[in-house]
Amino acid sequence: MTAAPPAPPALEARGLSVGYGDGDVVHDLDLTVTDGVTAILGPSGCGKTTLLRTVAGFVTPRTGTVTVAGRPVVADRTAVAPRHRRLGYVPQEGGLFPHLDVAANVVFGLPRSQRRAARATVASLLELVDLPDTLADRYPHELSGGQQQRVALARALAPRPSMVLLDEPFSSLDAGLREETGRAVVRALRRRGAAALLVTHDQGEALSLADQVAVMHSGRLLQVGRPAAVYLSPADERVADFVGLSVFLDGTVAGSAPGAVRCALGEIGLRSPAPAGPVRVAVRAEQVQVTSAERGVAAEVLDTSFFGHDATVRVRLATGELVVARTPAGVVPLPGERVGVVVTGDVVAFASDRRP
Amino acid sequence: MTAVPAGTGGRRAHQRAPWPLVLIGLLVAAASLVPLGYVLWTTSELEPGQASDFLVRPRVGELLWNTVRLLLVGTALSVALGTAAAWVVERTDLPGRGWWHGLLCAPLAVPAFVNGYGWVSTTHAVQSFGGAVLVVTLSYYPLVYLPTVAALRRLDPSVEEVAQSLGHGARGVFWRVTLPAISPAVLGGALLVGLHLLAEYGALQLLNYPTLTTAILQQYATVFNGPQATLLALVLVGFCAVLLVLELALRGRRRRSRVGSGVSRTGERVPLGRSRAAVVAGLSLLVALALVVPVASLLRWLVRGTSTRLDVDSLLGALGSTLALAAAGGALATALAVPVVWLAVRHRGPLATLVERSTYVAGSLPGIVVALALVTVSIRVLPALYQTVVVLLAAYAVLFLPRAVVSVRASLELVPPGLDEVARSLGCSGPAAAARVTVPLVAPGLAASVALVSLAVSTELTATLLLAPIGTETLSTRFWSDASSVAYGAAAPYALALVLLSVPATWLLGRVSLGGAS
Repeated sequence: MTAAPPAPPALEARGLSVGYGDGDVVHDLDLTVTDGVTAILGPSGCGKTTLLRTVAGFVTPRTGTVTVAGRPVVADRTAVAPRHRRLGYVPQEGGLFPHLDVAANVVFGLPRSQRRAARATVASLLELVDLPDTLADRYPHELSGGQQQRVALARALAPRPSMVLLDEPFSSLDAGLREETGRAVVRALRRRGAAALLVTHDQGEALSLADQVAVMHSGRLLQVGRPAAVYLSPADERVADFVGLSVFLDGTVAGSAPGAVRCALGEIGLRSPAPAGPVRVAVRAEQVQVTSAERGVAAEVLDTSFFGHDATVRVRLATGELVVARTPAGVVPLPGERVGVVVTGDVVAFASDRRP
Repeated sequence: MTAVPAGTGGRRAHQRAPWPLVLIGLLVAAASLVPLGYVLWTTSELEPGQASDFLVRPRVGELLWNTVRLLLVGTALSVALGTAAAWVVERTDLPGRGWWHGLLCAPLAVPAFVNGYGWVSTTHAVQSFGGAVLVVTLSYYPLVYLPTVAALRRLDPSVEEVAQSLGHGARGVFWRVTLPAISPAVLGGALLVGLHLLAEYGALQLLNYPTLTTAILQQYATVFNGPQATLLALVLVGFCAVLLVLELALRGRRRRSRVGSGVSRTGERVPLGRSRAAVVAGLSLLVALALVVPVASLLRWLVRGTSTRLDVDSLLGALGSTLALAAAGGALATALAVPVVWLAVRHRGPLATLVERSTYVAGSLPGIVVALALVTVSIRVLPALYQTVVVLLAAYAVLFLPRAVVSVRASLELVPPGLDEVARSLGCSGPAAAARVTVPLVAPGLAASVALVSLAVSTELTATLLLAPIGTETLSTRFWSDASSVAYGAAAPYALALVLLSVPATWLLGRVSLGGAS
C-alpha cells in the first residue's frame, strides 16, 4: 500500500466564497469529499444549493478554488465550463427531458456513436438503478416520481462521471417512496464507484444515506463528520439544534469536575469535558425518560404527540423549564399527570455565550 | 428549500444576458417604438397654434363624439353580452353547452369588415349609430366571451359553494363572488374590445359611420400624409393610452382569478328552470345576428355574383400573395419574438421589461397609426424601401409581435432552465443544448405563433391598404376595392376566402379557452 500514491479526493473546495452583489451566500468554505456520499445538510436559504451549483459550474465563485478528481475546475477566477467538468447532475424533480423517452434521456450524455446502438447500454443503465428495461420506451410523464429520479440518476451516471451532484433529489417524493428511492440511488452510486454530493434539508435523509455529513448554516459549514459523530457530538449549539430533537438548558460545570454538568435535570455526565463555568446543555429527547413521580426530577405533563412507533411528551419541571421526552409508544402519560424525569447517558455542553 | 422556484429564478436573474441577445432585443424595442415616436415627433414639429386651429373645429368635434359614444356603448354591450353568455355556458344547465360555445366563438372567424359588408349589403338601415354599435358588438363580443369562459373554468367552484353555504342564492353568488373573481379577465377583454373599436376602419367605413380612424384614412387619401392625419393619429393614440391606464387602474391590486391549485372540478350547475326557453331564445338571436346574417348575405352574393362572372385568376393571385405575406409575416414576427421572450423569461430585469413592454405598446396602437408612421419614416430615412414589401412586413411584425410573444412565451415558460443545465452537465455546449433540448420543446409554441400571426396578417386591412406595394393585391385589399365600390357580388368570393382562412385560428382559440388544448 505504501507504493501507490493516494488517489486524489473526488472534490476539494478551498476558500470558496460565492456572492451575488449584496453579501456572500457562501463564505470562505472548505470541503473535501474523498469517496462515498457526502450530504450537505442545512435549512433553506443556507447556501447549500448555491454550493452545489458552484461545483457544477452554473455559478462562478467570487474567490476560492474547486478541484474535481485532482483536476482544478475553478482557480484564479478561471472556470471550466460545466460541460467539461465530467460531473453528473441531478436537479430537483429529476429534470428529465419531457420530449425524449427514457432510453433517449439515459443516453443523452453519451457520444453520438454510442447513442445509436444503445439498447443494451440503456438496459444496463436502467438495471444499475434497479429499473426494468421495459420502461425504456416510456416518456417522463408516464413515470412515477421515484422512477423519474432513478432515470435521472442513470442519465447522470451514463458518461461515467467521477462524482454526481444531487440537489434535493427526494424532496418531491412521498415519505414511503423517499426512503426506497434513496437506498436505490446510493446502491447505484456504489456499484458505479461514483462519489456524490447530496444537498438536502432532511436530516433523516442525510444521516441515513450519507457517509459524511456537512452541516451548513448561513453560508458556512458548521461541522463535517460521520453521521454518528455529527449526531452524538455536535460541534456547537446550532448543530445540536438542527440535527435531532434536543432540549437546551442552562447549566454549570465545576472546575473540580469537568466531566459533569449541573442543570435543572440534575447532575449529568458529559461526553467530552467542558470548560468550567456557565454552559448550555443539550439533552437529546430520547435521553429523557418519563417515569413515576417518585423517581428523578419532579415534572408535570403538558401535552403529548403520538406517532405510533414512539411519542413525544412535553413536561414542565417543578423549576419551570420545559423539557421534551421521546418515549416508547406503550408508556405515554396523560396531560396533567405528575411524573418524574430521568436522563440516561452522557450529554454535551457548550460555552454559554453562543445561542442559536 | 420550499422556496426553490422563486429563489432559483432570482438567482438566475443576475446572469448577464449575452450581448447579441441584448442587441436584438433593443432593436426590436426601438422598432416597436417607432410609431409612437413618429406621432410625438411630427406633432412637436407643428407651430404652436397650428394644432389647436385644426383640432378645435366642428368636424373634429363630431369625429370625437362619434368615436367616444361608439367606444362606450360598443364596449359596454360587448362586456354585457360576453359575460352573460360565458356565465350561461359555463355555469348553468343549458342544454348543448359545447355546441353553444362553438357558435359563440364562431363570429371571430368573420372579420369585422366582412361582417359590416354582410349587414350593409342586406339593409342600409345599419348605416347609423345604432347600426355601427350593432355590427361592432356582434364582431367583438367574443373578445370578452373567450377570456371570461376561461376564467370561469379556472375559478375554483368551491369558492362559489362556500358563498352558497353562507346563504347566497345564484344571483348573489354571481354578483358578490363570481364576478369579482373573474373581473380581471372581463376587464382584459373589455380593453381588447376598446382597442379594436378605436382601430376599426373597414366595417365603420362601409357603415358610413365616421370616426377618428376613418377620418385619418380619408385625410391620407386626399392630401397624403398631411399634418392633419398625424394630429388625428395623436388623438387616437391618446385614447389608447387612456384605455390602457383605465384598465390598469381598475384592475388594481386584484389577484388573478385562482388562488392555489385546485383541480378543475365542475361544481353543481345552476338550473335555469322556467327561464331556460328565454335563455335559449336569446342565445339563438345572438348567433343569428352575429353569424347567420353575415354568412347568409355572403353566400347570397356569392351565388348572385358568380352567376355573372368569377375571375378565378385574380382570386388565385390574391390568395397567393395573401398566403405569401402571411407566411413571411408570421415567420418574421415569431423570429423577433424569440429573443424578446428569451430575455423576458431567462434574463429578467429592467432591460427585459423595457423590451417586452415596448412591443405591447406598439401592439395596442391602431394599424393605421403604425402604417402612417412607417410610410413617413421609410420616405424620410430609407426611401429605397418605400412602397416595398419590406415596409409592409415590418408593419405586420410591429402590429402582431405581441401575439407571437404570448404564444412563444407560453411554451418557453414550460421549459425549466434546469433542463438546459442538465444538458450542459452532460457535455452539451450552449448551442447544442438549445438544439437538442430547448428547440424541440418550444417547437409547438413557435408553430402556433407562426399560425396565429399568419392568420392575423391574412385578414389585416388597414395597414395593408396603406403599405402594400402598387400591384400587390391581397384577399382583403381586393375585397375592399369591390365592397367599398358597392360591387357586393364581386367581393363575395374574397370575403368567403377570408372567413375560411380565419376558421382554424378561431377553432384554436375556442379550444384554448376551455383548457382542452395541450
